[in-house]
Amino acid sequence: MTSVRGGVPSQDRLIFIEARVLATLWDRNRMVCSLSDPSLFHSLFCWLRIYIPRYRQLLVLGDVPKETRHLKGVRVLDGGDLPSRMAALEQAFSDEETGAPPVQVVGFGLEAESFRMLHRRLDRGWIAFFPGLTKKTLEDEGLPVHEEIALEGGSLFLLDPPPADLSPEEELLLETASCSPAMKDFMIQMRQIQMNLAFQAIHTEIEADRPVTRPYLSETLRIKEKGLKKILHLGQREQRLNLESYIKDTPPQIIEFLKSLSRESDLALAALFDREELIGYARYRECFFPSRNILNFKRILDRMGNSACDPGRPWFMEIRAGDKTVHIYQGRFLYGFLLEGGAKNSSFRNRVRERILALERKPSGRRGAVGLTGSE
Amino acid sequence: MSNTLDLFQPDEEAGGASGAFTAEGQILTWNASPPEKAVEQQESLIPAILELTESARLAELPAFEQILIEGSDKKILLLRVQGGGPFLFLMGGKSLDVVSALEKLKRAAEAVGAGLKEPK
Repeated sequence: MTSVRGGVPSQDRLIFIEARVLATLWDRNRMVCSLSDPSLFHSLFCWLRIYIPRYRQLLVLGDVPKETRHLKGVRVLDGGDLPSRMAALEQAFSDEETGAPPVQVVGFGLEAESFRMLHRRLDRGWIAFFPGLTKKTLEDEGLPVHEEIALEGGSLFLLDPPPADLSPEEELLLETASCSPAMKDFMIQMRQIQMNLAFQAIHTEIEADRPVTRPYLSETLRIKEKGLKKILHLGQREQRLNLESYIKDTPPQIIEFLKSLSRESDLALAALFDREELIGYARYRECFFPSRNILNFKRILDRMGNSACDPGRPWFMEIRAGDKTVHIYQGRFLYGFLLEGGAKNSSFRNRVRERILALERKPSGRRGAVGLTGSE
Repeated sequence: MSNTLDLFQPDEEAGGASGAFTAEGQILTWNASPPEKAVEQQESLIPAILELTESARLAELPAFEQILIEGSDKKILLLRVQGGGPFLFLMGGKSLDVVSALEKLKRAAEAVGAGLKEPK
């Protein structure tokens, strides 16, 4: 089913097409599948199914193929009249906002009236299969086609534009390109469930009034900026919750500071705290050193500050341990660095001190960025 | 052994300290300046240092060799000596010269070497 019309496509071309299909289904965009032979509905559906997150409620309606009816996790909506089936669908969609699993609707060979009701009432989360449907018919129905993907024996019509950045999908498909279908299914589902759970966790943190910063999420969830963007976007598509405004951005001058350290060959990790809040975090190479360790060291030195052995502020601490060296600076902010393998730690210390002094001289971040209040 | 540990005396300044103790906090030697500050120094410094070394262990760092704290008021240098121990050698003070303190501590550590036995 993945073959497209017009000869055998290259691997890159296939990934490009597949990424658009995956993104469409993952983002709950609307899709219409048209096949000249309706007996192929089931096999096309099976191909698409691995891209639909398994945690969604899969509701099927219309002239559902017999084999599809018996698939695990599929709930067939039949019985009752059309308005009551639509009311049930709308109820399932509105329950998403209160935490019910998101819904994915799949309609097979729907009657014109059923299809009209589906696309007029539901702005996302549905796929419709039709025999021999053309782009013109769809557009006459008031559904402009954003993109047509030609398949052997039919077409996929994407009604909504896929996300501008398809790199999360492309990376996932490249990772799974040499896997068996079962392993590919597992890996895609695992990533989708992981992102859904990450969104739930972020939501819970925000509801609990915990300060949530991008660096904190990046470190805790072990994701890069684009991964976090995808998680938040999916939450918006699935639960209609926009959490962006609750997450504090890394101030631009801290991003600059962290970027300026990327040329340090021995530096594995840098973390910056404003009081106890992680406001900057960068991993320059693969390593495991949770930033809370830096806070733990700082707390011990804070306690020393209340005793006869108070080192005074600002302070610097260096721990040399095997091939690792930890540097911690307590100035206006708390800075922690993990160095690996090198013998040039003292020159690093001098270079980073210059940068810290420059950073601490800078005024607070621009409007909308987290304020740099300092720990004084 | 006391001769060896005499190799590192604190600087002649108020609040200077040098000493050696076990990883469990048992003191082998302690020199304070002025001497009457010894108990106060030991009571505040040793638990904090042991907490720091335990935190380094929990952070899954390899066994540390050296910890340096440089504050605006005091500097503290700690060296971990494995032979028969581990033992922790410390030197601290307001105007501690880290390079020469490190030399002194290393010489003391070498001199003590494997001959240093944990007290019963």
